[in-house]
Amino acid sequence: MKKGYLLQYIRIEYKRMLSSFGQMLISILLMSVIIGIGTAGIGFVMTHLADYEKVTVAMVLPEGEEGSTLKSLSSLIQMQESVSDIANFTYLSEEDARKGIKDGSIQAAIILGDTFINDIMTGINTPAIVLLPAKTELNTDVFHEEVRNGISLIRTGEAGIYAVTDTWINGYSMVISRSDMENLLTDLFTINALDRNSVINDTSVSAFGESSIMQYYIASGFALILLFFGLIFGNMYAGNDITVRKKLRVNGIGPVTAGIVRLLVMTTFIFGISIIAISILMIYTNAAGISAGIYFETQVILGLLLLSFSLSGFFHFIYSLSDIEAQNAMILILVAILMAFSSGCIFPMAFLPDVFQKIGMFMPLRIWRVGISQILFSYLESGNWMLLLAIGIIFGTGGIICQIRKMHS
Amino acid sequence: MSDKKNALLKRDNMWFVLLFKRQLMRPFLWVIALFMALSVMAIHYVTAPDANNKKVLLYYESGAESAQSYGADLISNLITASDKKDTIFDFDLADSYEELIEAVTSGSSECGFVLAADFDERVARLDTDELIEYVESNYTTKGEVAKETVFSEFFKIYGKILIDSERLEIFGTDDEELTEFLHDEYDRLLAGDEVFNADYQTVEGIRATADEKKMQSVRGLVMILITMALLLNGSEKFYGTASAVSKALPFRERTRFEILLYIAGVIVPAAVGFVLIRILDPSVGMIPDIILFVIFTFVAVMWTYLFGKLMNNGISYMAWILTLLISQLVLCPVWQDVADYVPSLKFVSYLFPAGAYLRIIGLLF
Repeated sequence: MKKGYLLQYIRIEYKRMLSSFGQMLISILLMSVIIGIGTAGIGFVMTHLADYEKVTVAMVLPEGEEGSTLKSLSSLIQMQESVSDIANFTYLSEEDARKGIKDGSIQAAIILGDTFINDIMTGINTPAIVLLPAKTELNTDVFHEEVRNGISLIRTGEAGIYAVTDTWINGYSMVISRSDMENLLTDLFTINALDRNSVINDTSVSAFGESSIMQYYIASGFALILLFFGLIFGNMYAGNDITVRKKLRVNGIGPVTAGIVRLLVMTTFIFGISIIAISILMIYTNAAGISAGIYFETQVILGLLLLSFSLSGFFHFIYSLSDIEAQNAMILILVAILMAFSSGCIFPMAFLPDVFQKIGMFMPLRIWRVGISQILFSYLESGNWMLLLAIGIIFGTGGIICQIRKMHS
Repeated sequence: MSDKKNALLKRDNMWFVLLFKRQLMRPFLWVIALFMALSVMAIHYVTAPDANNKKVLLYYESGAESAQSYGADLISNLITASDKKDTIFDFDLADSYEELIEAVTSGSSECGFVLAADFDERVARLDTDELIEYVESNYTTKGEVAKETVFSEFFKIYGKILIDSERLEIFGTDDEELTEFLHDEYDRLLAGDEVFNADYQTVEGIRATADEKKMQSVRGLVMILITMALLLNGSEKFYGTASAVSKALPFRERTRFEILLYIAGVIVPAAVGFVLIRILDPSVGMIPDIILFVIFTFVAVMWTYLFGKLMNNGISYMAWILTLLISQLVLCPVWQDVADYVPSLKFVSYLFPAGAYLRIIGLLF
């Protein structure tokens, strides 16, 4: 084989690719935009899947000094995360509060009487009045639960102190005074009730792994767009290809060399497309003032090259399956859809039925998606690095074997 | 005149029978039908998180070992409270830590609580630091309230241990009879009306926001996949042998032939789709369901036929199939109605057969 011949062949393949790329540029761009918007839309829906509407609660407080003490007390309560997560507070008169519940503008009201503080101090348990609509919906029920929890804490503390008092009244003598006992137990219960955040420690889990929902869907959209770009490579494998291939082989370019050249051409194109896509993403996120944390670094460039190689190996395999171009394109589409569902590009994999989660583990698209996510937002782990390379090599070789078999058939 | 019409009709019938036979022999048709059945089933069983989810999982590793333990008491109190509707949360026991994590991650549980392995010993020692692990996900909305519920139940158990810890200082004795009396009093007071309480009053009023939209995800997905099957079938125009036949016909007959080609290709996927709908979501009466389904399948046929007319490049046509699939999944109210966030998209969704089908079903039923 002449060296000049190979170079010329490479040049021709690039030229073929460029011309088919040019023909389809507009529709390809349009469709990338639609896929981009589509995945952004799915990301948006996923972000708002469990939006929670807060209830508006009216506090009805007595006038004067007692009222202002209670107001500062209630604003302390409102700052609690469990309360601020579910309710907004407003201060109203009892009449307005009842009217508000009737017309649906508020969902609950707490009424504290004129002698509330005094009653608590002296141990008279005048109940707080909680007004709720007759037909409640979930969010009001959640608020009701929160009130019940708060009251339960007070009840527990009181039950402790009263139990000791009753024991004393029933003839068991105390070695400290009653007021000392009350102070001791009040402190003990209050400290322990306020200390509840140290009793419960938080762990967060996410169906989106370590990335945010936005990052997850940027990676998914990116992977889908690159996969979908595979359709333009169909032209490289078009029609009465076999005759040409046989002629080429006579001149020393067999299925192996041709396969490697095609892999090279596709890798370059996919790499170019991903660089353009990242640039657009960077411009967009900058303009929209979103911090996506994407930068061009050496590891990003190397990672993208590896990813492009991995994808081109896959495309080479699919397009070598059948002689009919349309059939290959259909296979690519069906495989793409199956992979999009099972690799978590539409729903995160944790939401899928078990069987699909298991299938998804083996899908190349899952590895590409995770790879892109790591390349863009953290760093490519060595395991994934190997997997990407392995996909490219295995599928690429598979494609070359298919081409050799075709040549001999 | 009528003879001519009859002859035309006869020829149409023949075309249709031949085309349908040809379709039945194509493996591709059956692949599509199988693909459709698989993906609809899979999507039907997707567990998407829901703001109204009230399920909370509990896990205590040493739970089964002793019946008389603080941890086991806490868990059984919480579960009893759910059974008696004393709490809005549905507390339930997880079989393993992994199960709890998985359920919270997938959103099938709102959140979860894991008691420390040495819960009982530490409670007895009054060492409550990080005694309970609270597991939440990005879809947890009422978790902080569930935390308060768990803590308030825990506090009831812990209160008794707290007064026990000060008993010697208060009474100066460790008398067993006294302890028993003290505990009984504590339990009695906690269950009764003598301690602080709230008086819950209800006010008749209108419901602020009530309507829960029911999503027709199975119907939507079936219609989208039927459109996709039609689009894939339509690629015959660029590659198949049938296109050679249609090119030989004059314009009017070509139109009839091509539409018959689409109809022949959609019968099997549509039948599979309809069976799936009746099995997975029989919420609409049989007769209106059939009528609407047939009408919209025909709309999908016309829609793909017209779409095929707009395209003249085989590969870009293929590329559009994927794009249309994704845009329909987003724009049509399959799982979520984007029109709730961007109202103008409601009209865009009417442009797709699946979108119009779902919206009309939503209006009628």
